[in-house]
Amino acid sequence: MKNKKQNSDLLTKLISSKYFELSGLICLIIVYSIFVQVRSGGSFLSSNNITNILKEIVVYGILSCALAFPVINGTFDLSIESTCALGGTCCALMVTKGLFGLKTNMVVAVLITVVICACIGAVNGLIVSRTKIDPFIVTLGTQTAVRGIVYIVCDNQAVTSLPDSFKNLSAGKFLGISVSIWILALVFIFMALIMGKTSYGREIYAIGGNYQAAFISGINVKNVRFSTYVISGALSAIAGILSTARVGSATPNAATGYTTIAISACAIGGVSLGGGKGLTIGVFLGALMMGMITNGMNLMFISSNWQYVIRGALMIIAVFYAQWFNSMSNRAVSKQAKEE
Amino acid sequence: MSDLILEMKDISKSYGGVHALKHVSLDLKKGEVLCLCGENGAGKSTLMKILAGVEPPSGGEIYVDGKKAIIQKPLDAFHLGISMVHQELVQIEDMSIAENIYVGRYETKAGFVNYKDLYQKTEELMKKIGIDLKPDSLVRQYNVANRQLIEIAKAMSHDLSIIVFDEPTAPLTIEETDNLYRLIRKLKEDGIAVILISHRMEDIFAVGDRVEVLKDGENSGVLNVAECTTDDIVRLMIGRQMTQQFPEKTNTIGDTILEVKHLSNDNITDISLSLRKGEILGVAGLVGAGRTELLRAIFGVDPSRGEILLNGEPIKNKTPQQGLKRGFALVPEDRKDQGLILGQSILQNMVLSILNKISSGGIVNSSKETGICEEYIQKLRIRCSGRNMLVRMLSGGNQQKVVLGKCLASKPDILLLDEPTRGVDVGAKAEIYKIINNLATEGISIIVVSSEMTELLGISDRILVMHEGHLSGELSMEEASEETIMKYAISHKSA
Repeated sequence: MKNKKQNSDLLTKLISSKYFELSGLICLIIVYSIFVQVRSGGSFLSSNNITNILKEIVVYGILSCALAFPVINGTFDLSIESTCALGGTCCALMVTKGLFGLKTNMVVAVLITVVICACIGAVNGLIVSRTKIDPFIVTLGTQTAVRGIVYIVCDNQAVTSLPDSFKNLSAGKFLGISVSIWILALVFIFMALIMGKTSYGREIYAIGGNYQAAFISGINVKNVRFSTYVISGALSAIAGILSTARVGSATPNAATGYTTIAISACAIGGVSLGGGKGLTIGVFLGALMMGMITNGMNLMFISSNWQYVIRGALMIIAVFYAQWFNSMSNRAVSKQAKEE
Repeated sequence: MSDLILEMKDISKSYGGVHALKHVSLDLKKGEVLCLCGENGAGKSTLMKILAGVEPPSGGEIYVDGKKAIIQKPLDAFHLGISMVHQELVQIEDMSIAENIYVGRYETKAGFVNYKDLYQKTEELMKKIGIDLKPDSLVRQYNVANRQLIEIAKAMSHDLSIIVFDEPTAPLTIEETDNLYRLIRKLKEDGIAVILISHRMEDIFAVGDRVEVLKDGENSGVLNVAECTTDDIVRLMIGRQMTQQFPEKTNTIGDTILEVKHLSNDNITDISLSLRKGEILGVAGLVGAGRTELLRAIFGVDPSRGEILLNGEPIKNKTPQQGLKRGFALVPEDRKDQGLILGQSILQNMVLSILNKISSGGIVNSSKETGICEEYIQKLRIRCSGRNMLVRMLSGGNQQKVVLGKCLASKPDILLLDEPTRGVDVGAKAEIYKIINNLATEGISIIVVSSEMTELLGISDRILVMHEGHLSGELSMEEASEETIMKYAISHKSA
């Protein structure tokens, strides 16, 4: 009897654990992997292909992080894809023909690019935190405006003939793994540390969970909200630079539609679009799933048109699962509480 | 027997193993006002939701007018002439009164709504119940009392035989309450049966014919209002004699710690008060008198003009952050909207105000954090399965204790409590009173805003009364009684 009680305790603990919500996604990833592995004749899970998937998700993985900060904070950022394109273009120009005459080496170019994009984020952040305009509208506006700036900056032309130092961000390897994958990992570790360990991360969750309560509890809600957009802008810059490095050129329409993928990755990964909820590991798994869909279906020769359909359906199913799961675990916990 | 309009027999309801109602029965006569009482969680609302078709029962039978009725959805209840005026009014704010009343039942000509007819019909309906509002005006512009009247009109627009009110007088002023009483009596004269859910004894004695008391999801007893006293009802509610609800006062009052001089903003006018160390200062007044706004202005949530002296030094809290830093803490009136992050754990909520203090280099020190959290879980006796339990899963009383814990964790000198026992059951109330008394004994100065006069009389050392943003009176405990408080609360005359 005591044993049984312990078991049910353990079960409740497991079910009510915040990580358990990701169980569905993890199962999906496993089942999908096995399925594609069999259909593709064993090439899906080869180390070569896994590297491919990771390289594939570098850009929108980082963009998903960029989105996750404002979303967990209870706002939204649609401008990340344009900021990403701006980042790629600025950085490429600075190491080739010059950004309004400014030419510099790779390292300085990256730093300046990050600052420029962080400023775009700061504009978003200022408007969102100091006015009552809906963040959706604010960032939709900046999405369009920044895309325009990208075209102006690059004068409607793609920036090509990048130096090797630039391309090596993607092609180069460190300890046998592409530099871009290392950067991806660093970004996720950075986010996991901030969201999981710091008081700042707690404040982000608190504001997203209940803005009024966070305010009355003495949290500087406006500054935190502002800063999430600055982080979002800076991360978008990194994504843009890596995207340019991978393709080998910066095109002004780069990253178009990537916001949608980032939203999907966050939603599938359990980030609540209402704010206050979401784990870094979930965002990573969500982005991974996005990459696996594209890659796996290419291996199975399924056309990209169908990939869109499946991606869309999956997003809805994933969110439905998360909600169903939440109600289940709530019920389990309240039942347990009642028994005590 | 034939005058019974409604019989509910053996109604049970369980939510996944939790029994909200256990074999509850209730009957209602034509033209009668039946009051339904009970502590929070006693099952009043659940029972009425079943009657209104919002929730299906797990067991039991309902007879309306002697015939067995099956109520599965709200529409079934409508067809049987049962309407409910909900506590939280559900109206479409940007539509007109007429549109709201007849929503879903518009008469159309070739697919277009016939507005002339609609407005006329609404006008007649409202005249019948004595409401004087424009049918084509938007609901948005009306206050709670008027919206309630609109809701009643909506109920009357159906062929009505039973109307249920869920805590209708809680948000109303005295005049508005009287108005509602009059309307309820009129409904009664018209032969309509009324069920009134209310916590307030005033309501019961003003309009009630009988009182049905529920306790822990079961029938506790029925009383005739004409033959019973408040004590009788309370005894049935809590199942025992009302014993010492308020703790014996043990606090000693020291020197003045806080002085507020001529504090004003949009909602309060020229408020001056002083608070001494270890004192419990009660603030009474009607809803909307500016009590909440006073606390918010002192704490720094809302901007204000005027002078605040803390230990003789002039200060100005411009944000809650500054307030906290200076040793203030606020327990807001609405814990769900302003006090708690419901989707997060007790632990996360508890340390919200002290994140900086328990972090080094920006990283939260988890052993400090759990230490503090466990300390307040024990000190405030929060009943939970552990510190990681989501606040949403806690009962109202325990949620309120988490808010208190969060405030206490910041080690305040001055604690501002806004309706600290709202929506909390009798047992938890007594515990909260004890906590408040203990805190004052430890030397914390406390300002308590409350709408429950017995509560203020039970725990305060001194009571201020507010009326329409002004301070209308200050009472020592010798002078204070429900009558004197009420006198100042309704008439703005300086003492």
